Amino acid sequence: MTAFVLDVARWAAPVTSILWLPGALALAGAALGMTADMTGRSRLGLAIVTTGTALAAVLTLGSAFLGMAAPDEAFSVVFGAVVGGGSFSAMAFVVYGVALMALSTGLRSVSDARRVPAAALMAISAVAGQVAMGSGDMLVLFVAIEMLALAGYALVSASANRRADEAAMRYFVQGAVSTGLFAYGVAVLIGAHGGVSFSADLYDAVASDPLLLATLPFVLVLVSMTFKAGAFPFHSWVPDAYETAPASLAGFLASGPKAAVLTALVVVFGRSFWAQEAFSDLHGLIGVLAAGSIIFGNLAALKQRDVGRMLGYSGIAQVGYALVGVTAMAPSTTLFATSYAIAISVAFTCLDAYRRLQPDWDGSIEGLAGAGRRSPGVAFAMTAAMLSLTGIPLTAGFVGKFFVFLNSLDSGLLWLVVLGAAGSVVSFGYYGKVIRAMYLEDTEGDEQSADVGIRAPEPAAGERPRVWPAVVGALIVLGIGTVPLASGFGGLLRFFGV
Amino acid sequence: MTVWLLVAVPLVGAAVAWGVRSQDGASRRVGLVVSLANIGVAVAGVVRMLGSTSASQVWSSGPMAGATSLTLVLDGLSAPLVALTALLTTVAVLASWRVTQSPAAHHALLLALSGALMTVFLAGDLVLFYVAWEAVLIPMFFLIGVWGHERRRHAATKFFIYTFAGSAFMLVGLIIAVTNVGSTSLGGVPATLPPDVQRWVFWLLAVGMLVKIPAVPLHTWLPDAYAEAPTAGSVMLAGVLSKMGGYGLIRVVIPLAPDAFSAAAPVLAGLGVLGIVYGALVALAQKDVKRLVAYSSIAHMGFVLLGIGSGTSLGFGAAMLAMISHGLVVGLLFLLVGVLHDRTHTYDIGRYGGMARSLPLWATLFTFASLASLGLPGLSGFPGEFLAVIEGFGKFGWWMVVAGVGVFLAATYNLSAVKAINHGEPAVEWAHVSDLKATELVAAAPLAAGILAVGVAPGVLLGVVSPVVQALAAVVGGGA
Repeated sequence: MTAFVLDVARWAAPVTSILWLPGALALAGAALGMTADMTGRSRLGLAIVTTGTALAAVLTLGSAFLGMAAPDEAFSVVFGAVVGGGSFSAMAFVVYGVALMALSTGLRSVSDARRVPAAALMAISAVAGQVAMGSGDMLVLFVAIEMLALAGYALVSASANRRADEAAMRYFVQGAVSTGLFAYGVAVLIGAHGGVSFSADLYDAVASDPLLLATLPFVLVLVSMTFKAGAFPFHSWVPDAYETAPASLAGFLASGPKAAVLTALVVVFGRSFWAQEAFSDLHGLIGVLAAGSIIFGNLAALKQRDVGRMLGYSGIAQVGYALVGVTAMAPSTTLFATSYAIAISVAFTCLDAYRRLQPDWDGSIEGLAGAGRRSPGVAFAMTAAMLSLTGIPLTAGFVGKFFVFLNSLDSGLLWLVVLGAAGSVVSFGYYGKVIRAMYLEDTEGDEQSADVGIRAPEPAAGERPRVWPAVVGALIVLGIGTVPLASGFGGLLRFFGV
Repeated sequence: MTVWLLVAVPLVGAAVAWGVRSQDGASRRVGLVVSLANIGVAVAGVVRMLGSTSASQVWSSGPMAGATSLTLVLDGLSAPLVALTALLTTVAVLASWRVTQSPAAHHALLLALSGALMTVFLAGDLVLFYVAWEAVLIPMFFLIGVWGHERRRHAATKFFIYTFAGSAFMLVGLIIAVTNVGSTSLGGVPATLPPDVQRWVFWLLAVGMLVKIPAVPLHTWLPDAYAEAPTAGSVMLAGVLSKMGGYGLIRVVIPLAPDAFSAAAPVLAGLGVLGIVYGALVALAQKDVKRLVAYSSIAHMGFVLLGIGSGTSLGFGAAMLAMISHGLVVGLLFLLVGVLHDRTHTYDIGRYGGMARSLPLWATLFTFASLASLGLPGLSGFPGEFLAVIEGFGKFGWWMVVAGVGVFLAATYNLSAVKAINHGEPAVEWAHVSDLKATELVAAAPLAAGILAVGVAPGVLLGVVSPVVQALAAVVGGGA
């Protein structure tokens, strides 16, 4: 099986080794889609954007397999500034993949006028994510991350109501501060080292700097990047943004940009040559951010009634687990980020579908009661996502957490591992509540109303939500959790481990 | 070949049972056929294992893409529990023969549970062991939460969170062990961990196991889960899931941390004795017959811990005997109590009386199971518990008198339950309820036969277990 896949990858090598092509296709799709939308053909526009992103996803996947087939020549630098290939392509595939999942739902929860622009923003955001992950230059990293954030502000406000505007505005104002910090940090770094902005050269230069000069700008960069990732204590925009954005867009916001920023964090603070030399001063700080995120995110999520807000707060805790991996400089951090990204976007996609199926649903966890019987596909996918986010075996989430914890213990971070394990237990308190509501809560009242013929109005024909993207995502989550049990985890780690 | 079939048959069966949900009653027939087939596979596997010269049957998927591969091991320690799982799965399928609420999902979950349990007992690799250990939780959560009694949702959530919390400790312990040993393979693990690491590994893993058994301070999930689960769920929970803890201690924890085990053995034995007395005392106070059986489980599993805590090969053998016996006895008791509830819709002991007259067959079997539960010589309860106390006496001396009190209390609560339910003034309201039906009798008969067989010839079981436990006792003795 694996051999067959590798053969295909070799056969497709000439195309998949062009590492700028995926980004170009996704951007072209976004531009063409917008053009079609301008002429009033929004369905066509959405199809074009989706196609562009799908092609990008396929190409990055192929390029990642190419890296598996020939690990020595997997990586290369595009345009002198962005590293691509190998596990970078795998992570880019994750980002394009979650964008594709959101696009495949048809974005029907977004108003007609904003649908194609939102889709195009997601495609652009995914490209920015790919660039951010692979950026080998501090300025490119800065621009890419700001691009991600700008698209994010717009996506949050896509609901076009007062609450969404307010959430987007708050996100924007706070984001502007973090942008300032990033800009200042990068300016100090580049200014103090004679205009060098290429990361590797910069790291070399920093290694011989006095402590304060070496640490301070990176603290600023770290603060700014953890803000974008939504880690404690820079998290306050997260729950509002996820609750007010249309669920399909929130699914992308919570997964794609986060996976990209987390991977960039790993690259800058965990995997770079510089990191291994002079990084130790920042270890403790990242560890504290990780611990704070796990504690705060889990406790705050426990209190939530709204599913979107709960997922938002729980996402803070999930970023905490990823930061544990960054602290430990664990190569498996990106595997964890992958598992988180797929599961959270499945979860939001389910919410999106469920809202279309049950227009009178108030968004609360209790409101999901009886979903197991009424919408078995949605409930199945949601259950897989919840179990994966909890970190139960047989799901991708377990594999990710397991290897992050394993790498972290190798680095002697027992306290963070214990905290993470405890946080996982607490997390079942709220993730489990969703499963409990869907399958266990009494639905007798519902059956009665079905008996007398009063049922929730069926969505009009052609309006039925697409459930298959969520189900496919759920199957991927379960596949990553089960297949390696028989085939070994080595391949998975090489595939996703930056 | 047979080894992987043990896992594959129930899992494939679960998928089939899930798939045939459109047809009435088809899923339960699938459940029965699959569980019977798995008994056949288990028997074939055990026969082959006993007939071969090597001590264990190993199946390995072979390395595919990565370094690790799936390994399943059937040996003297896992074989009895594999057989018990196969048998009790069949009993559970029969016990839920008349489930009307989504029967397909019920039987599919039951078979999936069986497959996960098989994997726990057969896992030859720490990661697989942990994955299967956790995977057991998911079907059990739904079985309790969807098909249980009134307070099922509370019980299911509590069960999940308690055992998941235990597993989280276990996961940390496992990761510490894996990073220090550098291998995830079970068996052939070199016992060379430094003492302080052993102490961490031992206690972190032991907490997970003790929650599952459950040992007394960690048992609070048990009464709710056992009492609120449907009959099939109670049979599997008490009969098989609780054995995961004892098995895990012997298979995983002690080989990884033999020195820490030797140091902690008195604590384990003490927890065991505490459980024996506490479980019996609380059982004595119960007015709900299902809760009575639930608490008696704590007492019985106390003997398992006591046997393990003695650290001798006979002690480990006693623990295995007590586990198998408890699986059979508690399975039969929950089955019978479930039948009684099916007829009367109550568990209140006070409302029964003179059932021997209206349900003669049921009453005979209930008396039989209660006698086995109190440890009557000649039935399965006696040899394991007696041996555990003897071995405990050899190690801890007169402290075993306390366990003796527990045995006395066991006689009291079992006999008083028999007296209150079977004899005395006949309860008018249940005068016309029907006795055991054919399916129920078929479910009960193999359990009764097993209780008798283990009681009469415990040596057979000890013989199967002995190669593994003797090697283990040598490791522990060498480390002490």
